[in-house]
Amino acid sequence: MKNMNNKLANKNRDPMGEARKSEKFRQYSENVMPRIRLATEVYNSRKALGLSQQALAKEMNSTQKVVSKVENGDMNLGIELLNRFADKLHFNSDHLARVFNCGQAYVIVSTDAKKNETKNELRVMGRSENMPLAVGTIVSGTAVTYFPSASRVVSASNTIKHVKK
Amino acid sequence: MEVVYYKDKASNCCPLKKYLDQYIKNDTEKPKERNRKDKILAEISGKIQYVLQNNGNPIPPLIKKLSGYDYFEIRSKKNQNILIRVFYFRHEDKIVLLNALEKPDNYSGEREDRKIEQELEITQGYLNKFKLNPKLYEKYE
Repeated sequence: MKNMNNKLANKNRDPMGEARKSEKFRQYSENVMPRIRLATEVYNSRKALGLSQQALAKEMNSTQKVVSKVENGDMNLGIELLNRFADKLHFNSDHLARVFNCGQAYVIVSTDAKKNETKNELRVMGRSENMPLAVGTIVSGTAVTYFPSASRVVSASNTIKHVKK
Repeated sequence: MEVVYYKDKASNCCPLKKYLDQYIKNDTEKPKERNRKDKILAEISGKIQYVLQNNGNPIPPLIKKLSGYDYFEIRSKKNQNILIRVFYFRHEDKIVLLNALEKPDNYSGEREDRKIEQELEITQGYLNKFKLNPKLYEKYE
């Protein structure tokens, strides 16, 4: 009888909507997305290098099953294995920024700034307000400077034309 | 784009929702079991979210086009031995979640193959019905 009541109560509920109310569900969900993004990066990089799963596994001193699991988003990687993937697949900061959803800022400095404006203090901010990722001078004409992991860029000068996150 | 469940008129239910019902927790269950259910749903939900972010495009390796059918599949692990295959297709501004089935890793024999094939055919039927009547859906929350 209790089971029947449960079934009736469940009939019109959206299982996903119900699950979303749970704190545990939210925690698990946060872990899923980096795995999915890593799966895509590993698959794309492996394809670009023309490697089979087997060949990549051999180069990494691992097994095809591990590569397959990572590409299906079914495996939580330790730092050592992630490092081996990053090494063999020539990951750069772009790849890792995409996996971990870190901000990326492109700062374009105006090339027609006046001479006395050519040096400007620039603070590249990360997630923490108190810890800038970089503080330095930008010389006009640098055109494009790339800061991985930046969430925003602060400058007193108007020579920064465009900040793309 | 919007994600919706396909609703079958004949059975008056959403096949995927019906499949997912088994993961609705109830108060009498142990925490371990409740966590297991949350984990399975979070995996599926994350992958649906990924499909949505890519406008329903089948981005490999997680999303695949099924040969011989007009829909795509999302693969998600239930446990070490069982794979959950969730089927969807795109229709105008909608990602329509059609159905799901479980595929054991180590199955053999024609019987299982036939069963899976039947389920794929049924899913194709859902897709055809939806195309004829695009109001056959329920909101995905």
